[in-house]
Amino acid sequence: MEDFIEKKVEEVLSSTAYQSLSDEKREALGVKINKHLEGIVLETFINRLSDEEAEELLNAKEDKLKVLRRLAGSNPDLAKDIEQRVEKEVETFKSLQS
Amino acid sequence: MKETNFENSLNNNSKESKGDFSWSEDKKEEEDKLSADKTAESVSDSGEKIEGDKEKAEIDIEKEMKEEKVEKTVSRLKGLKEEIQETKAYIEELNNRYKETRFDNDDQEIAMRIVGEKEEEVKAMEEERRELTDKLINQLEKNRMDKGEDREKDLLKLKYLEKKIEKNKAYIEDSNAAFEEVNEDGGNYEKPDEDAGTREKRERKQKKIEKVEQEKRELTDKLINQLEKNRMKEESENKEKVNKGKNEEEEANSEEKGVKEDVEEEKVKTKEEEKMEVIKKEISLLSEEINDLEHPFSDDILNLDSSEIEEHLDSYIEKRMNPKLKITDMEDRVAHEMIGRIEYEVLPKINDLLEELARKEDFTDKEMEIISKYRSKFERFKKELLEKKESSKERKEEFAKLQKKFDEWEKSKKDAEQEAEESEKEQESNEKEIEGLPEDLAEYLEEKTFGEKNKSVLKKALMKSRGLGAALGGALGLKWIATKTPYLGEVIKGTGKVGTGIGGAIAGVGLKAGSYAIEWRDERKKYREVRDELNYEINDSQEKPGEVIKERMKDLDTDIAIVEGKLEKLREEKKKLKEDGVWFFQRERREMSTEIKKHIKVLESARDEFRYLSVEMKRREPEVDVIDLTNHLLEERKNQLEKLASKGGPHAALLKEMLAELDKESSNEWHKTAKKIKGAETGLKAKLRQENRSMAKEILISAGALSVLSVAFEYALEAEPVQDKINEVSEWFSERMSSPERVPGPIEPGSEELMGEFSSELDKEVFERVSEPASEELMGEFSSELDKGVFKGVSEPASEELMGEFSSELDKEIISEGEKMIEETLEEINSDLFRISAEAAEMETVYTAESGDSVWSLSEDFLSENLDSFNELSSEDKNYILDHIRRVVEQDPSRFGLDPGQSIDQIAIGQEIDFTYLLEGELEVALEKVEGLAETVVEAEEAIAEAPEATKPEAVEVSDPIAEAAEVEVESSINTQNEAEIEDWLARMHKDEIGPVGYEQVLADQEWVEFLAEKEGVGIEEMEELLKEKRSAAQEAIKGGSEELLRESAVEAGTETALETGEVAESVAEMNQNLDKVKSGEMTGEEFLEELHSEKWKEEVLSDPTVGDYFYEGLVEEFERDLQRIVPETGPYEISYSGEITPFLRQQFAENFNSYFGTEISSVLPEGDIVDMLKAGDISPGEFLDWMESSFDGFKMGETVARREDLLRALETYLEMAKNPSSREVYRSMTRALEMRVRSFLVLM
Repeated sequence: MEDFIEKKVEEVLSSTAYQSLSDEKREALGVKINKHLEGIVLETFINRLSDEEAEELLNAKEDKLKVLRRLAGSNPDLAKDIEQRVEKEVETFKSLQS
Repeated sequence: MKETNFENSLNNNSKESKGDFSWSEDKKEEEDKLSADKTAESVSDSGEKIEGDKEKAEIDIEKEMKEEKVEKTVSRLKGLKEEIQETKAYIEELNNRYKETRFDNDDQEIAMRIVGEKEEEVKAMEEERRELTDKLINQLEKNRMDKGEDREKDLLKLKYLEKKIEKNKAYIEDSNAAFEEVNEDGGNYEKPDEDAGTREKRERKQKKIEKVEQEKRELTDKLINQLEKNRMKEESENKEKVNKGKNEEEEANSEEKGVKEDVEEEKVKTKEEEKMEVIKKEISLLSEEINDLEHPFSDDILNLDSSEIEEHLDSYIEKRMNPKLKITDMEDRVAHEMIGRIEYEVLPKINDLLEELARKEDFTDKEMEIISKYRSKFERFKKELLEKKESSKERKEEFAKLQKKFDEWEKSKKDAEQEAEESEKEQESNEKEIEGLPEDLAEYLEEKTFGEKNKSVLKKALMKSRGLGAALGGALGLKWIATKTPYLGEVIKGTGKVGTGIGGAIAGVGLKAGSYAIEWRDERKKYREVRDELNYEINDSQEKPGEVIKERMKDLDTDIAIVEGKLEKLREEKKKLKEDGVWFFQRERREMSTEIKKHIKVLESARDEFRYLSVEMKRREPEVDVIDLTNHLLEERKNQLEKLASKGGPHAALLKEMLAELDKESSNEWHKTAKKIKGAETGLKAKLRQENRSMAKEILISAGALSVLSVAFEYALEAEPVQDKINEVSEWFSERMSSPERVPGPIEPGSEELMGEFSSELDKEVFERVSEPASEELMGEFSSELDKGVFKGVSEPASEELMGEFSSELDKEIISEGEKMIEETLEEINSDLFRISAEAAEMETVYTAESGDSVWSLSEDFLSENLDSFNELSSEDKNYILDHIRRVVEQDPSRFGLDPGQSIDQIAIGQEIDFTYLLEGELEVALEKVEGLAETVVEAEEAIAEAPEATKPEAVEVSDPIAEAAEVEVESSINTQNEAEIEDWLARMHKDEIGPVGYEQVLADQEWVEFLAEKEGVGIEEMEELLKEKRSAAQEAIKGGSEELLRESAVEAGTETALETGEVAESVAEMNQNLDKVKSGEMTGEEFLEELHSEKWKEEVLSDPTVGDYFYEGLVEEFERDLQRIVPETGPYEISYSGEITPFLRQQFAENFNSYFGTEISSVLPEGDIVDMLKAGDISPGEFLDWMESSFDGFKMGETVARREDLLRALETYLEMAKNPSSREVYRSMTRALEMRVRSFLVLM
């Protein structure tokens, strides 16, 4: 996922809209977009949880990661949904200067 | 003596014309009396009907106004009226005199004076009358209110008074007109000059009269309104009179028509509205009650009498106590619905207890006490439920009645509204300004703003008259709603249409959602129509394009608020549903969950769309650059998330927590986990690898130690063991490291010391694996840089300075190339990682074929060893998935590491299949499908259980002959024409993978031998010889093998393998023959079991040296299961089929079908097409079976367990249910079930 996001960030920054920016600006923007896409991933994941699952994850203490892993793994559509949303975001970023 | 002359003249004329008439002060009273009489006559002449009314009314008044005060007032009023009439009569007389007499000025002056005086009198009397009328009216109203008098009488009286006044007024006016006429032309007389003062005075008087009249009218109106208001109040308080009242009011309206037509019309309308309000409230209450009660009680239960239900329940409980008695379906269902409704938690306990007790013959006192306790509890529930059921039925009927009435009213109202709207629209079309919008819509547009108040605005708009009909319609439309909840599609523009909602299955939700949806939809439609026009204007002018976007954003924002509200409601509903009865509403909850998911997706999409539009807005601003736009997009997202996180509930809390962590540095847990959502394992691996890669790179760069490079490389790849790559690079590395050209560079001691400085095990491991002395010294050389690299996280590229320290160009090349190689390899691996799910990182995906393995068996091994969820599936579901996988492999074997074009039926021993490709989506597809399949099967079972008694397939419940036939045929017969199967068999034969029993079976089937011979390209006799040789060889091989090995083999391969491996085959064949006898009815199940468990047969089996007790027991179990399948009474109904259905089989099936029926069904899914044809009536189940019988030798009715009548009945039952569904679910389930049945025929082939 990390690589996927990284690639998408690179895809955005290498698009026409951002080509004229300086390296510094591109880098700073890349960090922001990276975090932004991570947020999209997180939100999509949270949205796919039922009330009970959300409660379970929220209340999980030490084994939070384990619970998260299980919940993420139990939703077959999650990866597809995430990919679609992220792709759409990327397209939007890329079209900003068009 | 003008006065004398005038008086004489009067007297003379009077005497001449009337006889006793004279004019003097002394005779005034007499004159007045006479005048009154004449007036009375005149009124009488003018209209007998009115006189009649008058008399009636007066009689009524006298009769009804019993109180003294009223009588006095009425009396006085009457007196006044008489006086008025008398006076007016006098005026008339006077006027007549004018006409008859020629006046001189003096006479005229006298006459005018008299008239003036009389008019003064009239005015005074009118004034008094008005006061008295008011008084009377008030009194009347008071009396009516106090005594509950009939308002109709009041109205009648009032009408009478009104008419009487009008009459009198007309009379006065006529007099005045006559007077004027006399004054103006005087007939034959000379026109007298009326002086200005007199005229003014007369006119003033006239105006005063008019004013009084006006006041009177107003007061009358007031009275009418008051009366009407009171009447309506009475009506609204008494809903029983609603229907009756309508007719009464219509009559009253017709009676009162012409009096106050406009007012009445309006009142009638209001009255209708109020009536419907009452009905609306009632409907709302009823719908809530029905919603509460509807789920548990199906119609046929509702239609049972209470006594019948009681009987069923009693019978049910009795039978539960005695397992020998059979509980009927209806008893079971009644108990299920009635008991479960309230006590779904307690019931299992009761059941457990009863079952436990039922096993006993006698009860202890304690047990009897417990039974008694539960019995009384049961009775209580029963009573309560019966009451509820009755209530439910009554309310439902009442509801239906009201609904019908309301529908009629609503329809008429809507028609009227539509007409009004059309007319309004026409008017609007002529107005180009926005002000031309309908008032309520303009207000709506104006008020609709961003933010939370959208809902209240919407509500307000909906409360307007136009929305009312739709809103009420929503509250009503139980069925209607089920098919009309398209509001989501309406709501989210550009974000996809969501569909039809959850439908009628969830009446409660549908009720509310539908109400909401229809309210919104209607308003929305109107809004959109006008908004589109508005947009068009703006677009046309191209002056304010931003406004269009703004409008869309407003639109979207409102939509979001609406959907959020709906989502919230759905969640609440689901929660409530769960609390109410998890036992009953699983399906509803499942559907709700689906709906919730849809809502969530729509919301996600809509919020994204909102942000995009926001950026579009921003783009309109001057001098905005891409950075601004990007930041704006990011900022908007942040705002949205903050808003979401500020809401209540676990999701918001989770989002808040995660987002807060995300904002922090990357060291926190959530930040890390956010990157591992898509298969946490994969994420972890990726992360670890990333860290390792950095570490390796740092070590490499910092130390520059060539030998470390190999360690670093392996370390970098540790998370993802790609052995080939490691080997490849290692070889490359070793080759260069051992190159004679390589010259070690300057070396310094100190590595030992350096090692001591490393604190982590990781670092130790790295350095422990450095074995070459040269590298130790080299590391010493770069100790400080190493420290930086390891402990301070330096990640700069390798410095030229460091590189320069290496002694040879080769070293530089090795470092440079090695680093590059690491990067490339990792990149290559990374590119695939995202596609591989979590399991892939850990599971073994490559399987090597052993003896007897096929794609099917290897797939099964792979899934069962790596996927827990697979092991939880039923055998049918497993078969479904395995069949799917087999087809995927067949489509492109190269994706699984096989040779392209390789027949998957010929997997050689030792050949490897790599199932990684499955993890890239195919497995998910299969699982999803099987999930749907499993659900469908469950639903089918449920539907059968819930279906009305009349349509229930009794035989199917206990036995599915088709499925049985499928299993038996596939396992015992090899007469298939499947080419691939023949080839497979031959391949196995040549590899000596067939046991002696297998050869026996083939040799016994001449047709099969012919197939084999043809395929092998030899003669039939030659083939037989070959088979016999092979059989002997196989027997020898078995005898030569160790017993232990055979045991293991038998355990692993199961009964089927064991059957082919020894002398036991004969005994098994014998028992199989017995089984056939049972199938054909020659032997009973009991007789079969007797044989099976006989000592004789046991000894026969155990005489085979290759088997032991374990094998015998397995065989017995196997035969018992077979028997259960054959004898319906001995086993439960189960949907199952086995065997592989290949594309070849399908093609053959379809071609045969098409040839026989002259059709063109698809060879891809012939079973589906056949089901469609069955459902459409193009072929009948009988015709279908005829074709099966005539086309396939193996499908002989009567020779197999699949008796024709059983098959026919099963097909017809499913078909009937599929064609006449009681619900959508049943329809779907039955169609699917039917499809599965037809599919099972494929297996039979």
